Amino acid sequence: MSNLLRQHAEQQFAEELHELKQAEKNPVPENWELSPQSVVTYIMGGTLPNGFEVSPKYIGNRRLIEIAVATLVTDRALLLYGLPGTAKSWVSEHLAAAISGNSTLIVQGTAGTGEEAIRYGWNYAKLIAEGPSEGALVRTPVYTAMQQGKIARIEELTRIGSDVQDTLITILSEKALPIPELNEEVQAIRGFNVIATANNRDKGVNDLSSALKRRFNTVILPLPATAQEEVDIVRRRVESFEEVMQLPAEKPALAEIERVVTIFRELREGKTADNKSKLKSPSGTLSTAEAISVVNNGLAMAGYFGDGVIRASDLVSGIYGAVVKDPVQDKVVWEEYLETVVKHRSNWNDIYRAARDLE
Amino acid sequence: MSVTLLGIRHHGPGSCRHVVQYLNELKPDLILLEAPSDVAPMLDFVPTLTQAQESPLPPVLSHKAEDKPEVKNGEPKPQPLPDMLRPPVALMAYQSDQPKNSAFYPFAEFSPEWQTMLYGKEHRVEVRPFDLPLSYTLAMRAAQIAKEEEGAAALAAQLAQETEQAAAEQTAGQTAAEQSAGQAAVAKQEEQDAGQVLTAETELKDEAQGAEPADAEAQDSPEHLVADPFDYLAELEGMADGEQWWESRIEQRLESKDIFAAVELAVTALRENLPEHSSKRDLVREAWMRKELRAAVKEVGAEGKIAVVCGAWHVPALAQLASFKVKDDNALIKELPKPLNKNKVGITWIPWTYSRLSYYSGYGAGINAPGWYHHVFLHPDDDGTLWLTHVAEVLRGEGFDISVAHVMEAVRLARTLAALRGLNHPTLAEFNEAVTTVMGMGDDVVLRSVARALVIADRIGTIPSKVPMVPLLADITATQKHLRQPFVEGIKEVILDLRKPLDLERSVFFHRLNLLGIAWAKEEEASGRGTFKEKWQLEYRPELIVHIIERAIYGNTLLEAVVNYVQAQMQEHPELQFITKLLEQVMTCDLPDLVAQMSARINDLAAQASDMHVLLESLPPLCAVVRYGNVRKFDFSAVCDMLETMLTRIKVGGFLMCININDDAARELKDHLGQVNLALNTLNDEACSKIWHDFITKVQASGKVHPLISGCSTRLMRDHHTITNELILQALSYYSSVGNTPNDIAFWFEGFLENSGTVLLLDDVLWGLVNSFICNLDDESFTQVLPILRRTFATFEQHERTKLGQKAKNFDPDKATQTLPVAAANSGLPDDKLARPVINLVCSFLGVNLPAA
Repeated sequence: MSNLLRQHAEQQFAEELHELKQAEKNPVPENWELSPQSVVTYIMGGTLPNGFEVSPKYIGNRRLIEIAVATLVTDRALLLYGLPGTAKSWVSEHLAAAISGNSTLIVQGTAGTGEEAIRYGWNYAKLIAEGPSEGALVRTPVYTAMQQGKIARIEELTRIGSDVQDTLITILSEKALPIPELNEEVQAIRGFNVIATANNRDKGVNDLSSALKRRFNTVILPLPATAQEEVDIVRRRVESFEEVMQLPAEKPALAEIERVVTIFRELREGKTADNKSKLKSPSGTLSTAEAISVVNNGLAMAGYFGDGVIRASDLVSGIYGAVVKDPVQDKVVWEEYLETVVKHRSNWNDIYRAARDLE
Repeated sequence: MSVTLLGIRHHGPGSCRHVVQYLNELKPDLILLEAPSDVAPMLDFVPTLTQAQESPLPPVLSHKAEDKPEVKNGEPKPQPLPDMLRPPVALMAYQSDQPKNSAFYPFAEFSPEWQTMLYGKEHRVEVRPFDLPLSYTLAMRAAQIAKEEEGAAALAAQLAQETEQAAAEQTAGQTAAEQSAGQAAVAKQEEQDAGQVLTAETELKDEAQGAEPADAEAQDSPEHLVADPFDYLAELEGMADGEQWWESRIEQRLESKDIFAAVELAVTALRENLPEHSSKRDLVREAWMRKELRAAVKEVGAEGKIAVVCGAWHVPALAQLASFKVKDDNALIKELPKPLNKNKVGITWIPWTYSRLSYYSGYGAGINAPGWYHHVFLHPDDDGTLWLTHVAEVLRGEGFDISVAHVMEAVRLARTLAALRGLNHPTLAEFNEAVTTVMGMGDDVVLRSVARALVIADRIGTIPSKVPMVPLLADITATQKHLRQPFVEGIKEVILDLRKPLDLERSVFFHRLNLLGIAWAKEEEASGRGTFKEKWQLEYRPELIVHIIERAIYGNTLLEAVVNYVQAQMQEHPELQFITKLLEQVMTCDLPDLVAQMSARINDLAAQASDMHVLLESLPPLCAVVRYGNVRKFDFSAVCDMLETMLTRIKVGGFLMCININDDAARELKDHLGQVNLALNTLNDEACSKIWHDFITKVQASGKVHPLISGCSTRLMRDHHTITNELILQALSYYSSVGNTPNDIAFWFEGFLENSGTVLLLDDVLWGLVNSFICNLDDESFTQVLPILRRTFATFEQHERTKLGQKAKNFDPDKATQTLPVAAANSGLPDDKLARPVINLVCSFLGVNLPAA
């Protein structure tokens, strides 16, 4: 088990889920593993009455998670929306794990996702041999979730073609899946629901039809609200990355993470951290996930090619790559930032020099 | 004798409901109200409950056309609403010889105090304000203001001493002191406003979350200290903060029974454990209130029933009267400063607005969702259906497609959320979140677009005509008296010489009124070109008074009002061009601090302006500001610095704006370049010009820019003498060479020569350049360029063209090259013979007789 590259949420946090279940005091909706309150505690972290510590899975606004859970209670489908790298899939996985104890009923949305990936498909050998029958039916994760009263997850909903997306309408409003070939239907049992994720930047790809939109409650997961929060996220994730990759480099100094986060935040928000001057923002997202990968990358550079200590020069190329997505506009932004902000920060000389060396 | 204490939260709709219910059951003989005791005469204007219920509420102001008709309803003149007091209104108290020192006590329909007053009128029960009188409160503030001004005056006096004008030292010191005292006041005001603006900015965000804004003068009111004592109670119940606790436990509670006893218990416990949360001023006020309460108890006798309506925090201090010694209370009261003379305290009712109530500072009880509270007061048992239907209605009005199903889902989500959070009833926060999630695709843009209409639901109160005058009007009248410019019927013309102090003051006064939109004085074109002369036309119309009262909400003095008004305007129109134009207006109003503040704002905006046209467009007004500052000896160095920064930005990023643009955009850009160039030339600041020249050089040197811009920049460089003739010739031949399309060549010449007929006539060097270029063209190129040149020359005036033709005919290139007439004159001594007639003419202008040489 432990040699798995990555464990599912319900495997990795099995103990926490178990403890939460033991400590349950609030009413649990039918076919849910935990009460809504406990689901929120599982995701936001907290201490149980018996002193058991639940680790936070999502660092951010508790109210958003409350809205998400309340949505699932009202049997409306949930759409998690946000920029790339804002932990949408992460939250969706943990919600499914906490509510259904199973986060694996997942459909990955792509341009090639067809109706048969969402409703049901056929085993053609059997279909030809036996004709249309239960045995020839191939069940999809959504199908299974409806039968078992669990949460189905659909990743990147907006990547799926509009005609295919709309097959969800009946499932979400009638909570039923007709199978005309067998003259049958599957009626979802209580506990079934759908969590979909989609990202803001791809809005134009296959925007949801208004009929489908109306069946989802949408929660936008924002970028981290404060620098402290963001540093916290980056630190946790980078540390777990280190464990997995067994890098020779030393643990990155918190100061370095703070600098990367500061640069990302300042450029993203278009103002300096002290609110004294405004800046232009580059075209890229500069998400927390990118900050994490910049630090990871720097760590790998320092570990394999440097002396094991992470330095400005290890980070700057990664930062440059993240910031300058458009070679003309973003370059102006980056240069302006270097000249007006980085240059004048006394202890940031190394970054300035490293950035200048890049050119 | 029985005393019932009703501990409320100011502007709490639930408190209000509970108070009304209690009063109806209790039927008290006397009601004591937490309000300064000297406002008592003003309470006579309050209508009875029946009157109030029978007359319509002031309508919700449309947030789209916020200005005109409704606002006037507040005034006695046009009269669609009855001539009576209708909230939102405020009691305004001010020191009559110094209206800056003022206090406001606003009331909304849902204020417990207001409903108490209505009840009193209806049932003929005396409502007696029993808080510390304003004569004391204002005296305390006056002392504070005087202290601040003293500090500023001392500083100014010190500065004055350093000035070298020893002779005028005495007077200069005095005026400087006065001036800077004024400035200090402005600065203080600005600080306060900054707080207000800040609150207004965070308002929307707060509304979304349902939190109350931080109050600017929190120190006055312990309920609103940063660490809200009710937070402790919230923590006990696992709630986010004290606001939420109070909201869900007191305001939203439908059952009124025993609620005030519960409030008393809770606050008593808090006050026992947190003595530091009561300020000195509160303790004095409470001592005063006890004194009044004791007198009242004596007055009503053994059978009498007294109801006390006061802020919840004061309840314990009034509950156990016996445990406080009269002696101690008197000692506290004795420590108060000497109260102001009664006739120095002006008190009046003024119309108030919900938007003002929402970010109100100076009372310690600002609320951020008056529209919502209004709704809660009118519909206490609404489970959200009414509110969300109303939200849907407003959203539909804004063009959003909102179905009934949306409303149903939003109600469900809000209720589930409340349950998940352990609330008995959804609060505004839950409703807002539900609207965002269900109707807005998770984005609060939808909510924000209607937040003003919904959550503020702005209304303006009305004041009966018999109520006395507001301070802004009083201040303007006083200033008019001082400047000897009273309102007179008909049209009057005034010519001012700004070198005279009184005239300068008048000019500033007129400019300030204009800035506020009080159109009394209209500036006319003054004949003659003196910068020191202004001509004004004064025309009095009765509605001016209405306009002044309309502006009274911005401040008690003209100065204060102008500053606040400008800040509000900046808030409303955050566009760079707008603010620079506004700045141009503001600079004539003698408000250096405001100018500095605006400069900072402009600086911020300039930093994020990606559109260079906006930057270019903003530069000329800024140049005018700096130049004006120089003429009037104001210090606008901040603006000057900013000008440099903006130019630097243009230098860095402006180049991108000159490439890949179409002909129309190029024309527009060329006009902007010309205007900026003119402005900078007039300004004549070395550093700025340098940056500008660098930019132009950069543009000129690139082959990629639009030919019109290239021609124009070449020409600008020539005018600055920053380009050699060889380079110009090079550019000329480059752009007229065969590789270019005829259109491009024409554009280049247009940029290079437009409107320069006269210049070509007089400037031999330029003439020589163009001339030699044309003469050296080979036949083929000449045929190609000719129609294009004609196109450019056709824009010159007829007589210019005739003269240019003559010049071409007679021009001798060998004689004229490289020498300007001016240069020739400079090379040797002036020619007396030539100079004589000019000197005579100048002398006759100046009216002096020069002895013959």
